[in-house]
Amino acid sequence: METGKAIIRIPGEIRKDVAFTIKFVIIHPMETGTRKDAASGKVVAAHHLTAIKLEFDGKPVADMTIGTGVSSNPTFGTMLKVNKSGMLKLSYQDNQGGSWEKTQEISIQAEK
Amino acid sequence: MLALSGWSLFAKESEDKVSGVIKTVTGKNPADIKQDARVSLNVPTIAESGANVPVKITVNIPVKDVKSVHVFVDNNPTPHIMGINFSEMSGEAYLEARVRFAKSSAIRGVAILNDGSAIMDQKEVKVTVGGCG
Repeated sequence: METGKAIIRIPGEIRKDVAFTIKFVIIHPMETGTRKDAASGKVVAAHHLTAIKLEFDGKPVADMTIGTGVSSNPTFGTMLKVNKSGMLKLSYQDNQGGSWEKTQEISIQAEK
Repeated sequence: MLALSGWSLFAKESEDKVSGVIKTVTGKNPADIKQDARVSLNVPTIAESGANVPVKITVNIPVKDVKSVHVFVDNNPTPHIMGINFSEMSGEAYLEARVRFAKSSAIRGVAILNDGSAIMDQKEVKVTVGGCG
C-alpha cells in the first residue's frame, strides 16, 4: 500500500453515550533520519508523521503529536463517545509536507 | 570494573537527557511527577524486537479532568515518543500505540490533568534486538 493510506476499525455495535475503542493504522515508513541504508551506506532522510487529529462532525475529539519513536506503519487506538450518528474524520501530516484525511461513518445502534 | 563505571556514566547521561525532555514537554520537573495507580501503562516485559512494541495507557480518571498523555522511552535518541490531547468526546482517557525501543529501557506514561498536576506509570522493557536501525 502507498504512504498515507489509512484503515479505521470501529466496533460493529455502537451505543449512544457509551465509549468505544477506535483503532487505525496509517501506512507510513516513519524514517527517523538516523537510519543508514544497508546498500548505499547513506543516511535515509527523515520522513515521519508529525500530527494526527480526530474530529467528529467537525468537533475535535483528540489530537496527537507524533515523534520518530513511533513504529513504521503505526497503529493507534483511542476512545470515542458520541450521542448521535455522524462522521469521524482522521487527518494527519508528515514532516515532508504530506497531508491526508480519511473519514468513517459512525452509526449508533437503534434503541430497543 | 572500568566497563561497569562506563555504563553507569552512560546511564546518568541518558537520565539527564530524558529529564530535560520531560521538563520541556510537560513543564514539570520529572521528580515531581509521581507514580500513581490511576495511570496504568501496559507493555511487555521482554520484547524480541524493539521495532514494534505495543503500548497501552489507561487513565482511570474522568476524561474531562485529563488534559493529555505523553509517552517517553528513557534510552531512546528521541525520548518523547508521542502525546495525545483528549476532549470530553474521548469518553475515556485511553491510548494505544506501537513504539520503537533502541535498546532496553524504562518507559513512562505521563498524564497531565486539567488541575495542572501530572502523574505517571513507569515500566521496564527488556529488548533483545533494538529497533532504531
